[in-house]
Amino acid sequence: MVYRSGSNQAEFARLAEGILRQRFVRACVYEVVFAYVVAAVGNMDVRRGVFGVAHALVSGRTAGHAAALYAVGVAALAVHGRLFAVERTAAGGAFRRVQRVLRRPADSAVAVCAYVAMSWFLTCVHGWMFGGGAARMWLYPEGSYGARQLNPAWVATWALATAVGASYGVQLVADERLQLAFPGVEQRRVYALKDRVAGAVARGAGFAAGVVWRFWAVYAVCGWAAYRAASAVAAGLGAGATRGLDVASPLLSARAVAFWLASATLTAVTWELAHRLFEVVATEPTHISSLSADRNACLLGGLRHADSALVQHLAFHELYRLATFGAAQRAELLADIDRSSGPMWAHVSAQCIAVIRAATEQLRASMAPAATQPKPAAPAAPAAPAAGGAPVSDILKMKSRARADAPPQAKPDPAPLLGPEPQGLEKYVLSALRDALLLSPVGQRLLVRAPHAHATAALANFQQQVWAVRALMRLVECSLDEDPYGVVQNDIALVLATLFAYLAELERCAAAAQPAAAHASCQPASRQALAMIHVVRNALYSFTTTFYDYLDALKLPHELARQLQPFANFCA
Amino acid sequence: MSTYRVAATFEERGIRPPSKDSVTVGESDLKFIHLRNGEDVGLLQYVRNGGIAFPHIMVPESLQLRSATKPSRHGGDATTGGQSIIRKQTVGSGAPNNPEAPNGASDANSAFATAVSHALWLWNAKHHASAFVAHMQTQALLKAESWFPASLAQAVFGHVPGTASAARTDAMEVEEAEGHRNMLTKTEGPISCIAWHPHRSLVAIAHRATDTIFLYDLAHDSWCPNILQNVYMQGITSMAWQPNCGYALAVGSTNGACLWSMLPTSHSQQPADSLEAPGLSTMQFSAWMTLMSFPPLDKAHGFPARLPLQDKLTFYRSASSVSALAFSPCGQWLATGHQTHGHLTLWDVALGSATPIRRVGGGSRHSALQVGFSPNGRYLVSTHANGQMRLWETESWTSRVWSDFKANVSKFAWSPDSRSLFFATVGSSEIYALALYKAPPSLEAEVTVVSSFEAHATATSDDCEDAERIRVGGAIKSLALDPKGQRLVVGFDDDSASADISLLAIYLVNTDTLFRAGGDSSALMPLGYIRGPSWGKQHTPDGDKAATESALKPDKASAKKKRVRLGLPIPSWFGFAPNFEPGALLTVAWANGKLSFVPMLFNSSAFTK
Repeated sequence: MVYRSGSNQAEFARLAEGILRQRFVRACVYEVVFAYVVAAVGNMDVRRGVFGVAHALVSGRTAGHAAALYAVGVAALAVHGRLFAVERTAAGGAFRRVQRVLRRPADSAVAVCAYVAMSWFLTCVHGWMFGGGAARMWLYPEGSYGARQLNPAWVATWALATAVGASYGVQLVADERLQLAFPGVEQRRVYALKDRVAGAVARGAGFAAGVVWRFWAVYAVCGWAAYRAASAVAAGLGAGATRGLDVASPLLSARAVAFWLASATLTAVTWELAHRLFEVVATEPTHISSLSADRNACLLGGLRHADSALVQHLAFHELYRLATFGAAQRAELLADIDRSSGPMWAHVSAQCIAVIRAATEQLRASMAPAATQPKPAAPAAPAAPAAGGAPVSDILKMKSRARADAPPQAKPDPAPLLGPEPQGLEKYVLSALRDALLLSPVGQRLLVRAPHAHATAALANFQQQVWAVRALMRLVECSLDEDPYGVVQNDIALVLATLFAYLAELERCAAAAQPAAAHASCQPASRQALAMIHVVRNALYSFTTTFYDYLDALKLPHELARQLQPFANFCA
Repeated sequence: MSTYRVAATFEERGIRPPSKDSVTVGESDLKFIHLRNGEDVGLLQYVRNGGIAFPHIMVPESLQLRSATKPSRHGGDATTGGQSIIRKQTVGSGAPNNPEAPNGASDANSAFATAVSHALWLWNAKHHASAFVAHMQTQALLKAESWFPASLAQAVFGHVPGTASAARTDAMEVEEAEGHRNMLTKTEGPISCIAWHPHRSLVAIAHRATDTIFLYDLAHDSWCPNILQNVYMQGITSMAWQPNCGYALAVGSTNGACLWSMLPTSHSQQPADSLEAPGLSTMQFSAWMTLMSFPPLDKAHGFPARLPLQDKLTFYRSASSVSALAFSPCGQWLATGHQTHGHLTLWDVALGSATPIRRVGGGSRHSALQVGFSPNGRYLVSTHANGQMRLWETESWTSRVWSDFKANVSKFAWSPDSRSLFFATVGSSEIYALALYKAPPSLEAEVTVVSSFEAHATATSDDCEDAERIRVGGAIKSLALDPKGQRLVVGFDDDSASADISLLAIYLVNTDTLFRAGGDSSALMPLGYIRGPSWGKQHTPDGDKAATESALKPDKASAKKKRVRLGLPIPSWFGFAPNFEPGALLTVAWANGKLSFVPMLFNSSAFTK
């Protein structure tokens, strides 16, 4: 099947979006299986022995529960589809988590609200499933007539449901679990999913158990005291009518605790399975360019696409795969020179080099001495965050990188720290609030940049940089045999210079992080820098061993030759 | 499975094995030069043709090492520097109250080392406590699981990380110990395995008794001053250098895959006008080790920041007990097979991430025996203890299985064009070939029998009339193919019908016949034998005569007296150097601890002759 369109630039994005929609539908189909299995497990009656399994499979209650779980699973998929990210800020610590939640407050609020709503819905369903004994609506037994009061168990159950949903939503954002982790090795989706099911169930059960016992502890202190206070007040108002409050304590009810555990576990497992399902389906490798009539231009359009980070990631992934495995398309790409805009290799390598250069520049700017760095442009942030010397704005609102062939932009406008600039009275009030927040110790503490946060931001698109380095070097290596017109040969020095510059900055970053390695928040960035150093060194060694016999013939500049010499000596 | 007719046997081609008091120097003009009492008429011609003779290297059976730098708390830098082999104090055990340690009054360094050890023990007290608690928990679980269902016992006592249950843990430890014992007893001698650097003339030699690694620079004919040793690297089973990297060595051990990185820290002692790249033996270098764990021990992409020394960590079963490993030719991927399960683990070495490839069963009866990437990196072959041989395609990791062999596949070797694979099975004298008929990623392939070497008695190549007769051939234990794809070396199993297992048989290879219709010619043509350096007289308890007699008359009594075979130079490991311009350089580790290099000088018209 070949799609034809007028603009190759937009073709990759259009095809990718269509494929992603198809994948979402496919994920919804897979979700049916998960929902039914979880419902069957939840409705299994252990008193029936082995027949409990068969009974659960054909039970009408299982069907109803499966329908509810399916609805929740699809809703979770929709939430993930809206809020996912492809770039990660690898840093730990409590304040890092708070910063992530505050970075996009609207998205965080959507996540929390969605999961709270789903949790409430499933609590209703589970109350119906388990008979509602633990979540009894009214305090008095049937037939008693008195002032209606809420049962503490009912209140506790709904409070627990709220806590489960809210904490799950917050930890999704704070831990960046909405970030798509592209698998290093491509397997069939069924194997990739199978590997993650056990982890999903274990994590869901662990999350539910953790929330329940923490909630129980809090409720034992606060809830029970409040309940007794309310009882005393009620007793003072009408002693005879509140005698029924002395019913068995819900805190000591084993049935209530079992209900909480079962309900929270089923809920969390449903979310976790939907989460893993979305990860596996969304990160499936694509062959989008092969759907196009002009697949080289289509791929280039994907590499240039800056509106959607996922589309760009899929394009780089596809480039890496064709450089590694697709011998035919690789040769076609290197032989594609008859275009008015120049050889295709030049465009593709420019995109890869742009990714590496952007990271290099970001690292270089961050590692420069604080005195030489420009001050924050935002006038409303005089006290801002000078700890690392860079403005906070890129943390609060990270932008996608500029296109490689885009004209150099003028001085950017001062980026609004908390969204678009308002007008009128609203502008005055919000500006005052923003200044107050930034000047306050709390705001300083929450929004200030930690040391080495710059490096963290530079490595946020770590996976894309890895693909760019490996694909670029693989194409250079293959050019030795597969480049019929020698288009790569002129760019070898440029590629090497780019990689050496990046390697130098990475080594500076890793060396700077070394003394502070004991600090927990610095380790992930340092490790990512070390891993990237491995990747770049591996690429340079690969170049050296491939071109070992031709290093003299390449006539590299003196500085490059000097930098390459340790690799030729295997001393780097 | 079809069978190709073998054109000729060694007997039919008039190739006779060398006598027992000779040693093979090398090959030139399709003839092997055997030295007997230092005299051979062919040696002069060999030297005239530019033949190279490499000296043997001796690796002693037992070593006592002293480390110049104490192992760090980070579990990383643990190289034993300074003079390589010094008999003084064992640092591998590192126990504070080592009875063999010298008195502190006489050796201040020892006292200081003891104090440091105690301080480190106190520093890691938290880990000791957690290990003790984990041990107690496992014991409690074991008792509880004997009375109650495992799930109920775990609900009460918790679960042991990385395992299904305590009973499983216990069984797994026994299983691992048994498997490890079996794995190690298959090889003999002080050398457990050897790995050639893919780009340099550097050999890594694993010493079995001390679980240390020595580095030998063949170009400079010298040992590297540093010895690689770490408390977490125990029971070395396999090694491989990372291609397209400086000096990175992956070592398979019972605790998992250990990745050693070596970085030269000083300039070469070579003259400045030397055109050759400096060798590792001429430089000082620092080395550190990363224990690759899956899931990561500290949840940080496989780079453990701090490993406590001397503690028994709970290593995850998924990545421990590495029985085989191999690097992809590009150096990006490291595939590990495991003793405790059949799943392969694929590591992205730079990123430290692991992906389990779960197609084979999870039990130890499916354990991986050998893994190997094809030279173009598009295929991977894994052999398993359940008799399976799997051919993987490395793009989407689909596989094809062959399992109709009579026994497990013992060894295999890829041809340089990645289109064919030679292998042998346990207890069989047949050599198989797997031919891939289509370009990758196709898995269309066929297995054929290309040769067989039945055990038989034959006379040695002595010119005198009373030449001794020895038994050659039998079950094939191992084989290796040179990187140019022209020589196949075959070693024989010790259990086979009392044949002279000290001989290596060499075949001339022509893989084109595998893809030619008709099958009227053979892919393998007998070329000659290789014999190693003889054992010292003091090591032959019964003498060579008794050994010969027992070998010629196989019976139950002789089978019980296998120790007499210790007098013979039995090959425990052999393989080819990746780069040797004049031809191929065979490296053989003999069971007597000697390491010999046998050059084979190719002639361009060799096969046409």
